[in-house]
Amino acid sequence: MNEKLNHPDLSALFAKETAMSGAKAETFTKALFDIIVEGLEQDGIVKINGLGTFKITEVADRYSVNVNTGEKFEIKGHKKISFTPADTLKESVNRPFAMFEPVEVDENYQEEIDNDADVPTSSIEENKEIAVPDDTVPVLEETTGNVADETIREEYVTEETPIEERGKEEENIPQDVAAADTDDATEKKETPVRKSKKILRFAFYLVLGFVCGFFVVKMLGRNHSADDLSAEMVEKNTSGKDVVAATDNEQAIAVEEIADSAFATGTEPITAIESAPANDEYAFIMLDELAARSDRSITAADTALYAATGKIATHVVVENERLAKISYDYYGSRKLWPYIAKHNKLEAPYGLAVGMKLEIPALMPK
Amino acid sequence: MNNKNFIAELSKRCGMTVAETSASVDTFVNVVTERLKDGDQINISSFGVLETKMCKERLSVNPKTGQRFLVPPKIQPVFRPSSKLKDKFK
Repeated sequence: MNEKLNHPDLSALFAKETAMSGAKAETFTKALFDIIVEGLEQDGIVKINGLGTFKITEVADRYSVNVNTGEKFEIKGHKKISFTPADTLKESVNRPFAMFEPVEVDENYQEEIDNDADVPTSSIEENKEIAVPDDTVPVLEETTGNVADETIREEYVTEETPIEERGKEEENIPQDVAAADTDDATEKKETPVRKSKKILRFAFYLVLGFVCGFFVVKMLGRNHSADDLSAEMVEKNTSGKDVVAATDNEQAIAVEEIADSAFATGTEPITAIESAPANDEYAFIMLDELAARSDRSITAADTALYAATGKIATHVVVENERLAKISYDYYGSRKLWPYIAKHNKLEAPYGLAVGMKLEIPALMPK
Repeated sequence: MNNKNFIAELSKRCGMTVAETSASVDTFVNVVTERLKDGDQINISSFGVLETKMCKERLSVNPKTGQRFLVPPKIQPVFRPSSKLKDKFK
């Protein structure tokens, strides 16, 4: 595929197909092309069945313009060599597009052909003289000799088969050749619509992506400031109230606690608390749940970072207080309750009784 | 020079019978066709290049009736003579 064969390669391939020896094949092919040249010199035309016709054509004088200076100059009349492929060769080479036929098109058809698309051409058109013949209508592009003109013009006759593929590549084999009743006009109108639908779909997915991204970022933001958020909420709830916290308050704080840890772990916050056990039990549940839920689970082992030296104060436990809350009150962070617990030699489930005295140690970083 | 003459000349040149050369030329043409089908390029020095060219589809007009129609894309075999050959016929 897309190889470049030269004379020896061709001879070798040829030798494989026939009974000839390699040397014989070489002389054969060389002679073949030599005779073509001689025939052109003698008669100006050489026809080889199955391959095609080589012809010499006279080109008349014409005037052209120098692209840089803009001045006219004359291209003198000369001869050019043309090649018209034989029908069998044409058909074989065009096999990928064999089922296509020209299709009549109505007035409204808009040209959608993207002629800048990549095309695996193996030839760059050097011979620019071809499209010149003055007497022929230049509307039809020609790449080979004039003989081809006739064949194309005869193909006006329309077939019912529409062209589905705007094939740019050789490999493009059409999928839909049937449908004899398809209305060509609507067919063509569909393609412009199809393209804009594609754009619309793309735009939709883009917007969707942005929205999702926005939410992701928001969630991430929440995680980092979880403590601050819920700290604010707790403050609001407990400020101005007496030390004795009502059950409602407790529950409110409890909800925020859960919510706080939920954000930390990224799980769904539980908005309803099903059962309301006794206040003391509640305290235990809260702590255990806290520990269980957060992956930065706070255990008594977390007393490793600070050393408890001396004491700041003595705290008397009041109704519905929890270690975490006490820690927050004295240290500014709920996370430091294990130090209080350890210092006061409390063990799981860290039960607090009303009126209990807790020594609040001063914490020095180790 | 038509096909008959061509074969005759070739058989004389190669010392084979006309029937033989005719068959050989057929196989030769088949080989070339196969290569072109594959999209390969055949370059014979001092003669030219035989290759395929991809033509995109285009709108065209029947000059008589003015009817517009769509010419489908196709692949064409194409011959580009080498400069030496062109010089011979200047």
